[in-house]
Amino acid sequence: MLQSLLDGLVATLGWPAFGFLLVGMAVGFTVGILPGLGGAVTLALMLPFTFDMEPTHAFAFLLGMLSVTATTGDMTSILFGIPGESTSAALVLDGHALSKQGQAGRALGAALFASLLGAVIGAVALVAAIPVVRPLVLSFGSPEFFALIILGLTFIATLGRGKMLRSLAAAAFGLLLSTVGLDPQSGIPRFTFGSLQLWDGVGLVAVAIGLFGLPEVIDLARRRGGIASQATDKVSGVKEGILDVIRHRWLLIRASLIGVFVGVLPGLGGSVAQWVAYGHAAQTSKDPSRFGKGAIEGVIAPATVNNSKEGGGLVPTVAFGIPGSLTMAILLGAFLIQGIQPGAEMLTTHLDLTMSFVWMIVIANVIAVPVALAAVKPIAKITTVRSGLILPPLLLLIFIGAYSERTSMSSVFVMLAFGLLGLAMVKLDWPRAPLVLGLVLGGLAENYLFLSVSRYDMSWLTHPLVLVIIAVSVLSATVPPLRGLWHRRRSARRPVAAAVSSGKEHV
Amino acid sequence: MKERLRDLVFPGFLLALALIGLNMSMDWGFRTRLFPMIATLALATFAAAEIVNVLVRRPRPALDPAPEPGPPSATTAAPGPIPENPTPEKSPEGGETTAPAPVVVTQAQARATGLGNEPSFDLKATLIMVVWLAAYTGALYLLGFLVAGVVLTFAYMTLGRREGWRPAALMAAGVGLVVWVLQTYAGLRVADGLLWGQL
Repeated sequence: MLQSLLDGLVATLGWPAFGFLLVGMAVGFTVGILPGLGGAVTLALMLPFTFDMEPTHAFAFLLGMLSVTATTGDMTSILFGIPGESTSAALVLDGHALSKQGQAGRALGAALFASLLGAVIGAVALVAAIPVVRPLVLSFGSPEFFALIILGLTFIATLGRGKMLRSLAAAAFGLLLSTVGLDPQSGIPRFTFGSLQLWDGVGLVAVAIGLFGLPEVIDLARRRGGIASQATDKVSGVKEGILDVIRHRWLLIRASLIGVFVGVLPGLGGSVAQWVAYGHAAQTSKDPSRFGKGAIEGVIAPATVNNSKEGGGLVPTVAFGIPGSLTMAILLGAFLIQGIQPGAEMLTTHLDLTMSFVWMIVIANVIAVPVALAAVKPIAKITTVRSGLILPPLLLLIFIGAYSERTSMSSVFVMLAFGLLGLAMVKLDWPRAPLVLGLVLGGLAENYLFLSVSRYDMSWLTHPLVLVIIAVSVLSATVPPLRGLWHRRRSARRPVAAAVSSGKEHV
Repeated sequence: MKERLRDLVFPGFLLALALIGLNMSMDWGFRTRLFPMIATLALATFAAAEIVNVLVRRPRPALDPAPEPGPPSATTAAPGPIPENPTPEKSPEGGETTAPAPVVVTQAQARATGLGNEPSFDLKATLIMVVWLAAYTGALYLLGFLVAGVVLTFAYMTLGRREGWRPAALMAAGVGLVVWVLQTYAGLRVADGLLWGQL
């Protein structure tokens, strides 16, 4: 494993992989600062540019970008109170409060240094997980992997509290979409409606750009002017912020572990992780009343989580092919485009590639954080750019991204169709991420199902591990709504009981 | 009633889609139809359950001026696992901690601070942008990426955004240059345009 770790470092620092890492970081810097386009959408937009790249170069570009978006997204949260990324929203509360108190530099120093350390801890967690996960993955067969995919989809769907049925339906819709095209086994066209363009199926890039990119572009078009009225002039106290992180080192470690844990769990994602860490920081603080008014712990905890979750999120994606979040789902799509099958291969023959991911995350952050600290003022000026100037290149990128997937206008039409669907889903309050997850996982699920049925007929359903995983899936899908029903009934009974008892008193 | 009808549209669409899919998959062999059938049956079940859920639920009360905190998956910034009655904990940094006040960010706060994950729309702006997107697609199809990129960028910035012609021309030239560089040096394959083939 040590050899693979070294090979991974050599591959990351080799040319042109390192160049692609730097280009990815430059894209991530800009995207992180600009609101609207998140890491997942940008990942989908950039995916077509990696089609002809070698795997190491492609992942250097994609992971370099992804690692930096979370870091720079923190900066606008602190400086302007506008999150560059949805995963940076928790930083607005205390980070921006500190900015208003003239301590922007301190908050930035703390956030960026905590991000760096969080990323390193997350990457170390990925390395540490490999020896634990490898024997487990190697003992799994196709039935267990199929059951795991169902479990992953169920977890993701059930986490949309109050929208569980909608999430499950969206995930099932994604699974159905994954079956469009030629059947990989028999070559029979399915759901193609006589169109040759659909024989290759519905492209992930076109769907992801349509579902997530187009609604964001339309939202951006609605806005007039820049996201911030003026750039910041005073940024000092960065060193104090770095020292704050060292002073709160235990909080940093705990928040990093929260990030890794939430990253490993399917469905939670960074938007939730930051609030979990923020809540934890508030709970364990000596003076929780400071939170929301400029507590430095309220900056350190969410900033740490933002970057440590990436390492954690890669564990199930690489080892089991089960992405924990939308970002990881698109990254899984990149694996499949590159012809890399997640699972045992990534922990054996392609272990050096997995290890290079670790180095990419660490190196991207090691470079990005000092650059961000040194160039706070010019970076912050990007936020004053009018949306009218951002939109034209963005539109071009969206169309090029969709077209390049199949080198065909049909992909553009698919993207537009899913853009309209995305708009409808946002308007009608339907979750979009489960649809993409279903689409990504559908191909893998069908393959594992085909292998299971071919090898074991229907007896695979009685494999002990399959039974356990299916039982957990059923429980995770049924327990939350039943518990909700029970709580509703209990709270409905309470006022009646209170009325009865008060009535007795009156008598 | 109107809201209930609105909530029935999407599950109704999904249910119809699932039934069409189920019907189509009947003609295929067992191995070919196995997975699509599982997916369509799951989709039909969940969509039908959502329809029932919408039909049997009580009408939602009018908008509360002080909205409740929403789920983590929604636009709301959820506060994480803060217990309702947190017990004092010993901080690892040393020192006794007191019971913290739960940190709650409401939907209203989330909107006000821009914390929402989901984009927001108004109908007119959305329709205008959809028209621009359709025009962009048509232009790409007819004129190709290079020409359409330049023309549509200039047109959008001057007509759609009321920018001056100078920044619009600069941006259009920049867009054209990027497409040309990507085509020439990065091997990007983009459509040349149907119209040029006819001429």
